[in-house]
This record gives sequence, C-alpha cells and structure tokens, in this order.
Amino acid sequence: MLRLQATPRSRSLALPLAAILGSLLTLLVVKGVARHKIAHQQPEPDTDSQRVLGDIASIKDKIRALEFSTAAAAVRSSISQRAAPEHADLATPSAEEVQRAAKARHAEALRLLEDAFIRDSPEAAWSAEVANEFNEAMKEGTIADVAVTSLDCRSTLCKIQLHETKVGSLQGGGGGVQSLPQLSVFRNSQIYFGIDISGDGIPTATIYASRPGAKLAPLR
Amino acid sequence: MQRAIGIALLVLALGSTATAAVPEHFLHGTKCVTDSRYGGIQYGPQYGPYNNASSGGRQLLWCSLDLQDVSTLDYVYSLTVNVTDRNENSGQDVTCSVWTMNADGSGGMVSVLSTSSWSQSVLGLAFGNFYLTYGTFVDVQCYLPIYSGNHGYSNLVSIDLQYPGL
Repeated sequence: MLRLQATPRSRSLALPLAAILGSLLTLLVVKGVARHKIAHQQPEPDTDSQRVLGDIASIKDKIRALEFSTAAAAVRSSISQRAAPEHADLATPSAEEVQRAAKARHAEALRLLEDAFIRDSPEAAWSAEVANEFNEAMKEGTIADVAVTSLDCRSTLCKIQLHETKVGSLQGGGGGVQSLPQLSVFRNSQIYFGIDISGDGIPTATIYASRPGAKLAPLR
Repeated sequence: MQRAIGIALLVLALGSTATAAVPEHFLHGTKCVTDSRYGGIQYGPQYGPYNNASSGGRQLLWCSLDLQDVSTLDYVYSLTVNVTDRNENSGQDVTCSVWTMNADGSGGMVSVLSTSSWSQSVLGLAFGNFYLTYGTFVDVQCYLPIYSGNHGYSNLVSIDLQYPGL
C-alpha cells in the first residue's frame, strides 16, 4: 500500500499552495458574486437614467408652460395697451361723464350730417323713390303711427323728418324708426337718427340715410 | 415639433383673446327676442332661431349684444352676422341691421345689409368696423324670410364680433 507521508519539506510547500488555492477560490467566488451582482444590478442604471430623463422632460414641460403663459399675458397686456394707449391710465368714467360725452357725440354727429346735407345738391329722382316707398309702407302698415313732416333726398344723403301720431311709436312698439331697415330704398344703407322731444312735446325724429352701398361719409 | 405645438397653442390663445364670437344659440331666449307683432320665429337645435311661418311676411328678431369687455372710451369692432337665406323668392331676403344706440334712446346709427340671393350655405353679412364707446348699446335686428318649402328654413346662425388686438 502506497502511503503518502508528509515530509517536513512537503508540509512547508502545502501551506503556501493552500493559501494560493484559497485566494484563487476566494477570487473566483468574489468574481462570481460580483458577476451575479452586476447581472442583477445592470438594469438599475437604466431605470435611473430613464427617471432622470423623465424628470428633465417634466421640467422642460413646466418651463414651456410658464413661458407660454408669460408670453400670453404679455401679449394680452400689449393688446390692452395698444387698444387705447392714451386712455390706459384713465379709470372708468362716471355715469355723468358717460352721458355728457354721449350727448356731445350725438349732437356733433347730427351737426356734421346737417352740414353735409346742406352742401349736397338736390336729386329729385331719389326723393321721389324714397317718398313713394314711404307712402307704400304707410299704406301697408309697415310704417305706422307716424307722419312724415319732410322728406328730401340729395346726391349723397336723404333727410327725413317724422313725428309721432301715437305715443311711443317712434322709438318702439309700432312701425316707427325701427321699421326703416324693411324699406328696400334703405337696403345696404347707413342711417343715423336723432329723436327730439323738445319743442311742442311731440317727439320728432330726424333721419339721415346714405345711398345704398354707401356709408354716411361725414361720420367716418 | 414641440416648438411648433407651443406656437400653435400661443396662436390659439391669442386668437381667443382678440375674437369674441357670440353663438346665437346661446343668446336665444335671453338675448334675442321676437317682435310682439311676429310669432313665426322658432328655435331648434339644428337651426337656432329660424322662421317657421310658411305664409305672410318676413319675421323680425332682435338680439342685444352684451359687450361687457368694453374697457376703453373708443373701441373699434368688426361685426358679421351669419345667416342662411333659403327662400328663393324676390323680396324674401334676409335683412339684418346693426343698431348702435345712445343709452338714453336719443338716437343712434343703423347699418342695414341684405342677402342678394338665396343660398343653401351660410352667408356672412359683414358690417365692417364701427366705433363703440361708453354709453352706447348694440342691437342686431334681422328679418328672416318665410319657409318656402323648397330649400329649408332661413335662420340666424351666429353673430361674430371681433375687435382689434393683433
């Protein structure tokens, strides 16, 4: 029987060998564990980067939204400034101021139209056409409860004066001023009117009408 | 791409700032009324306000525009009234007028426009620019022709109001 017998020399070699083997084994085990660990940890950096990318995208979206709302607000502000820069620092006018300004504008419009009408040259054919349609409309009842005081059409403007024959007929209810758009002579025209209750207390309307297809030039 | 979407959104937002469209459907009953002398104006989800009468004359509809956003002393508006005129008979056109009235009823401006012929599609009566100031009110008056039986009902589709900004 062969028997291995450890000699002092072989014993002295066995220890370093064992140490080397042990180191190798340890290295292999560590490497294997490391590999295993790496194999399991590899997705982690991907998840992180995706999360970071997602965060960046979200931040970008928020920045864009902020930029958008800031730009929109700036433009809105610019619109209101440009709409009336000379009035930007004014507060809303009082009711009295509004009424005063409206009356002044209305009086000025009537004055401009009357001046233009006076300068206009007479045109009998247009006068006859309008008068004829007024008569027809009054017969049919399209225009009712009013009487024509005067009717005069010139080259660019027609001036008609009406007065009430029934209370309230000029402004509403009946066929007063509000029926004028029904007349074909005023189709595609522009009309300006003023109702005056001064004088004998009977409301009268002064109406200026442009030729069909034209605007009231004095008011432009 | 994202920039393009951003610009598109901005344009949309600005568009809505500069344009105030008043769909007539939402005005009916509260802002639009028929004249008491006329009874043929009906309302339906398909047509909005339309003339349901098949005889007689044109029917009258008044709409009051509520311009709460008037914030300056003089403001220019551009107004278009969109209608359908489905009556082919002469004298049965749609006539609309815009009344810019002084608050005290002392007078005002009236612009009148009519359709010139019938059409199956929507026609825009473009009244162009007009000034609106504090103390004035705007009303739209439309005469709608009767139902002719051939092409359908004539109706008031919408009132588009635009004011400058861009």
